[in-house]
Formats: sequence, structure tokens, C-alpha cells
Amino acid sequence: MLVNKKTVFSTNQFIWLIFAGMPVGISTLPREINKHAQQSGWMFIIIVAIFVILFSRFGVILFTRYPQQSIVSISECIMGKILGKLLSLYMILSLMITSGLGVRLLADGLVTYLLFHTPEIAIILSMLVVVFYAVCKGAETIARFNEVIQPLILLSALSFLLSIPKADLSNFLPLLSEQISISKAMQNSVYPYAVLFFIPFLFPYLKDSKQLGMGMVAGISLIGFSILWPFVFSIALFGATELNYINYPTIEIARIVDFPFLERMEIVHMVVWIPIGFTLHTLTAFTCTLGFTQCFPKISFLSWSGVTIGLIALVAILPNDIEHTRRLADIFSLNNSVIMFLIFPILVLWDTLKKWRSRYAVGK
Amino acid sequence: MFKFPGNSTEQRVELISDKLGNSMDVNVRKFKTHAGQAGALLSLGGLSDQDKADKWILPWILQEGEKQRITEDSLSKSIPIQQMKLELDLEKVIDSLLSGEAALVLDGVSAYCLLGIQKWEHRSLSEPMVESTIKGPQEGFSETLSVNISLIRRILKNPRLHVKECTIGELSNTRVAVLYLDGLVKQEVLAEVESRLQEIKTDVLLAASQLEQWIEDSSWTPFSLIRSTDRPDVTSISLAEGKVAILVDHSPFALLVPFTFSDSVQNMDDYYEKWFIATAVRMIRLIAFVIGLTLPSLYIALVHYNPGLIPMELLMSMIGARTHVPFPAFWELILMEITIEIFREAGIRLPKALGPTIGIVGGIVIGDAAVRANLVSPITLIVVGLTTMASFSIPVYSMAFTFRFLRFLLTLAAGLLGIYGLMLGIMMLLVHLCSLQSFGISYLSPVAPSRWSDWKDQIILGPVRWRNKRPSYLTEAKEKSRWRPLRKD
Repeated sequence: MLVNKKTVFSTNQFIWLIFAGMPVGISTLPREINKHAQQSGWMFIIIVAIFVILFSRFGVILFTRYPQQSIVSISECIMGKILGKLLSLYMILSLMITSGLGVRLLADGLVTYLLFHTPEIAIILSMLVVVFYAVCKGAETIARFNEVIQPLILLSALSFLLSIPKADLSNFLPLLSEQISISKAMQNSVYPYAVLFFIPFLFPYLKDSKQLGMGMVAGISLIGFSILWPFVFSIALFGATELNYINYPTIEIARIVDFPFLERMEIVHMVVWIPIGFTLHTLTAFTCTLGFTQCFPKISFLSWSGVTIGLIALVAILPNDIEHTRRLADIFSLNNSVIMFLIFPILVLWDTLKKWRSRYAVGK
Repeated sequence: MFKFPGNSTEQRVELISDKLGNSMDVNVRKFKTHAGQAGALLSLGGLSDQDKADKWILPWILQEGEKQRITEDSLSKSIPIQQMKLELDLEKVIDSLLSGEAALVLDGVSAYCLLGIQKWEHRSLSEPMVESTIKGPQEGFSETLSVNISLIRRILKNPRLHVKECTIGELSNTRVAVLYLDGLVKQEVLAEVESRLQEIKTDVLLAASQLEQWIEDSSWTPFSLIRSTDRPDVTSISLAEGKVAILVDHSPFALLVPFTFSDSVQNMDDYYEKWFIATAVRMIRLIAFVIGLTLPSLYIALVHYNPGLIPMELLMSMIGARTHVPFPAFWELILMEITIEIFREAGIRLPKALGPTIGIVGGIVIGDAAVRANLVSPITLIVVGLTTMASFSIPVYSMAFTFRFLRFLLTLAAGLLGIYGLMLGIMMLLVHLCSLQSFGISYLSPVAPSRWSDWKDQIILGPVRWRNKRPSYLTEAKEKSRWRPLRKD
């Protein structure tokens, strides 16, 4: 066999991996943003995307200081072995629980719209079996897989263009709505980026900080575009008032598309949920497995992947019902936002202070 | 192992005959020259050119030995046979005899003189049986290694075309040739091919497809990781792209490595047509790929789980057609698929003259009878027929088998979990494809890892003047040609 070279992601692959971090929940996002910003929601989407891009600079700083090291070893270097490991495990568990709840929500959506009378457990377990297979294949396979599938997912959004004849641009007026709740609109717009803290686990697969910076800008921009695009169509087609009463705006957009032969375009659109969910869960499960292996390298990657998938399955099965799952998902969404927007600045600050202190001590 | 031969011709001939089990096809022609030097010419019947021996070798021996004894020096200087070598090792002499060479044994000459006068009956060149083209050359490989090499040399008249030879098979000693264009081939791929060939331990190697199983990257995939072709032009163009070709004696197929998924949509006719027509045809093939793989499973998913997605008029006609069919759509489809597979298998095994008859009987008579007897609905028949035809539009023969096998798995997934099962099946398939490598090259190149510049030759087909670069993942020398626009007067 050929000697395995060290896996290094291309910039293209890295961009699509970041894009894969986009959750399935964005299908309800236009309504959530509209609730708090109405037709002005698009501004928040753009502002938050720019903010996240600027914020990603903290990741680049960490990578520059600790090139090609995972967040596990970076946090251990900065915070000490025990604290660093605990932080990593906290991040891994958060990702795992988010993934488990995501699988459950997806299963519920599928039972409601596609597979009536099918037990949710069958959907959850079948999804996780395929996720396990993908995780076992390793980083290179997952990167290539996303490189193939993500452009197709993005292209599927073009189907909204078919609804243009029914769009009304006057729905965007006045540009600044009178009822804007800035904090809540921002909070909702941040949600799609909440699991992006998986990126530092992938640092060992990157070439340099330039690639990381470029990848983050492009990947986050793509996620931003994926939120902006359905939001713009939702407002143009339904208007801000009507949108408040629509649960799944993306499905409604697909429903009003007139396409010869396909009478129920929304089912075609819903089919896209499956790869979006699958890629996200594969990525989070892989990241968790990678994190576990980096924390406890004596146990093999394969064993950890089994443990990870088992735990995700457990999280997916445990909630009593869908409402319970949603409540938990909301709590963990907040938890993830905290990790995403607090831990990295703290790590950078801690490291800077540590360096200043050691320099000061040497000077003295 | 070095062995010093016995002293007299008699002893040495006896030794060789013993080694060959005193087989009846060992021809020994003993003689004595005027100078009193005894000798013998040994060969195996049916493998050596006896005419050449009678017309050239024996007259030369008698003439040369008329006044003086023949020596090693005179043998190497004046024997009128182009391929001649002196050999002391008895094992090598036996191997050469088995390969069709003749061995000349002379008293006083310690070495055996091996003469390249091989000649055996072989099939003359014929049209390629598996990959046919309309505008391309109609000459396929034959079972003779040297002929196959010469067919490639006739196309690639270039000193950089190197041929390395080895033998595989403890009992068969099958000759295997590795061909590549020096300076174009990736050295690590070539080294990998050689090392994998060296690792093979088997008694008999019969054909290239057998060798394929020995050297492929993974035995646990339904996809071909090595291309097998019976066309010299496909082999030559692949060599020019930087691939390595492996030819096996007695096999009319060349193995081409590395092989990527995009190769399976390519056909030689693409290169003989205008680029936009060829691109359109490739797109049709890609659509046929998708149909061949997913149509039955999609049909099952829609009929069983989401009939609401089917347009109302079509749905009504489908329900009408299925009213009297006693089986569920899933079993009806599986039944038809298995029937088609049986017809196909029977068509291959039957004599050529009966093949089309079976097609007609199977396709029209039994199909029609099955519909009339309400065993299957016409729509299922259309789905199965279209899928079967689509799977045969894949230019690489072995891929058609792969797709048929995967089609059953996807149908099962769709039968269990509808569109969701189908999507999961496709995801799994895609993950599997992404994990595959052929001699270190990603199977999905140039899609993943993406190399846009390679798309204009490997996925679509740009105008011939744009295709001035070789696939970057295959070769070390990327530049193919430097085209300058023709001067307009």
C-alpha cells in the first residue's frame, strides 16, 4: 500500500467543511428573525455575518501562535493540562449533545412530512449507522464528501428563483422597520454559526493561517448567504406580517413554486434537509471523535467513534417528546453561542497575559 | 541458481529431458558435424518455429562445423538468428524452452545457446469485443503479449515508451509487461505497481482480470479501481496521460492504472466527435448513470411512501395499471429485476446465434405475457427496462455490473425507509466513493479533490485546442501541447 501522507485539507475543502456546520434549523430562521426585525432582518443577517468573520480572527491568532495544533493541545498549553482537557471535553460534549438533539429534530421533521407512521428510532439509528461509517473513513473522506455534496446543496437553493414572478419587492419597505428588537434579532441571526467551534479541532489538517483566514471568511460568508437568500424570498413572497404565521418558510416558498410535472415541490426541497443534516452530524461526530482521541490518545479512533455515535444516539432518544427536544436544543444553542463567542477571546487573552507575565519575569 | 552443465551433449540433453518430465512434446534433433562435434537442438513442439530451425540454424551448423569445431565465439558472431544468447544456468534454459525458444547444445561449448525462434498459433487481430467505437480504429488486443505491445508501439512511436517485464505464477510463469511513458508517469504510481506485482504469490495467472484482483487497492468495494480495456488506442491515450498499462500474456485486455470514476464516463468516440456533441453525450451518460442507479428505488419510494409527489394524472394511470397486480410494488420490481438478470446471464452463456432470440423471447414475449397475466404492471416493466438499458450505456463494462448490484441495495433501502432510505443509501455510496483510491489517486478526481482545470477533459470535453494540459493528478508533466493560433492570410 502507498504510504499515507499526512492529511491536509485544501482551501476549497475547508470552506465546504465550514459550510457543513450550517444547521438544518435554518429552515425556520426567516420566521424567527422576522419576529424581531421584520423586513429589516436582512441587515442583521449581514451585520452578524460580518461580525462573525471579524470574530474568527481569534481563531487565526490562536492558530498563528500554535500552528497546526488542535484546540485540545492549545488549551492545555494555555490553561494547563487539567483545565485545558476539561475545556476540550466540555466543547466535545456540547457538540455531541447538539448533534444528538439535531438528529432527533430531523427525525421528527421527517416523520411529520415524509415518513408518516415510521418510528423515530428507526430514522435516528439508520442515520447514525451511516454517520458512523463516514466517521470511520476519516478526515480525508469527510473533506472530499463535503466538497462534492455541499455545492449541490447550495445549488438547490436556486430553485427559489422560480418563485420570482410572485415576489413583491415593496414588502421590503420601509427599509427600517419600526418594531426592531436588536438583541433578539442578533441572537437569532447568530444561531447558524453556533457550532462553528468545531473548527479549532481541525487545525492539525490546515496548511497555514492564511488558509484558515481565507477559509473562514468564505465559509462564514456562504452560511450568511444561505440565511439571507431564503429570508429575502420569504419577505418578498409573504411580507413581514404573514411570515410570522409560517412555521417553515423555506417549505412554503417551495410550495408556491410552479414547476411543471412536480406538483409538490416542497417534498423535493425537504429531501435536501437530509444531506444538510447528515453532513452536519457527520462533521460533529467526527470532530467529537477526533477531540476524544486527542484527549485520550491511548484509545483508538475507531473505539472513540463507536462511543461518540453511541452517546449521540442516547441523546437523540432520551428526550420525552419533540417539545422537550426543542427546549433542550434552545438551551444548548445558547450554550454553544457562549462557547463560540467567549472561549476563544478568553483563550487569546489568557495566552497574551501569560506571555507578558513570562516576559516580565525574564526582564526582572 | 547457477548450475554448471554436464560434460557431453548426451548428458545435457538427458538432463533437460528429465527436467521436463520426458514430455512427448520435447523435440530433440541430434547431429554431428563434419569436424566430429556432436550436438542437439532442443525445442518444444508448437511453441518454436521448426521451419526456421530447418532453414537457418541446422544449415549454418553444418556449414560452420565442416572444417572446424564450433565455439562460443563463432556462435555469438555468426549464427543467423537475431535473438541469441548464451546461458549457463539450467533453470533459465528450461524457462526459455517453455517460452518457445530453442536451445542449442554442443560438445565442447559449456554454455547453452538460446535462440529466439518462438512461433505459436494465435488468433489474428479482430475488432474489440467489449469497447466498440464507431469512428475509431477497429483493432483490438489479441492473446499474444508481443503483438499487444507492438500494437501500442505502432501508436506511440516514442523512445520514452518503456516496457518492463516480469513473470507471475509459480506454475504458469505468465509473462506480464508494465508499460509507461518515461517522464510522464508519476514515479510513485509506477513504484507502487511494481511492488504490488512483486508481492503476488499464486500458482497460475490466467488473465488480466485475475491480476486486477491481486493488485487493486481494496477488495471490499463493488467499484472497479483498475480499468480493463481491449483497445490499443485507449491504452495509448491513457499512457500519454501518464497512466501505467499492464499487459498479461494470453489476455486480450490491458489494465490501466490509476483509474478514476470520471474515466468510466469516457469513451474513445468522444475524442473523434466535435467537442459539444461529445460533451452532450457525456452528460447523457451521466444521466443514464443516475437513472441506472436510482430509478427503481425512486419508483419504490414514491409508490410506497410518497405517492403525493407523483403528478395526479400519472398517479391515476399508475394506480389503474396496478389494480390487478397481486404483489406489492417492491416485490414486483425485485421479481422483474431478477428476471432481467437471468435473461442477461443466459444471453451471455448461450451461443451467439441464440443471444438475440433470447432477447426477443425474454423482452417481448415473456414481458408482454407477464403484463397480460397481471403479474407485473406496465409501469414497472418500463422502469426495469429503462434502468437496464441505462446501466448498459456506461462505457466501462465492469461498472455496469457494479451499478446493477448497487441498484438492488438502493431499492432495498427505499423499500425500508422511502426517500429517506434512498437518500441515506446515496450518502453512504458517496462516502464510500470518496474514501476510495486507485494507486494513491482519489477515485473522485478531479471532482474531489477539485481541480477545475482538469474538468474540460475529464468531465466535460472542451474544444481540442483547450485540452492542452494532462490531468494534473495523473502526471508529472502537465503541459500537453503549446498551441498557437493559425495565421490568417
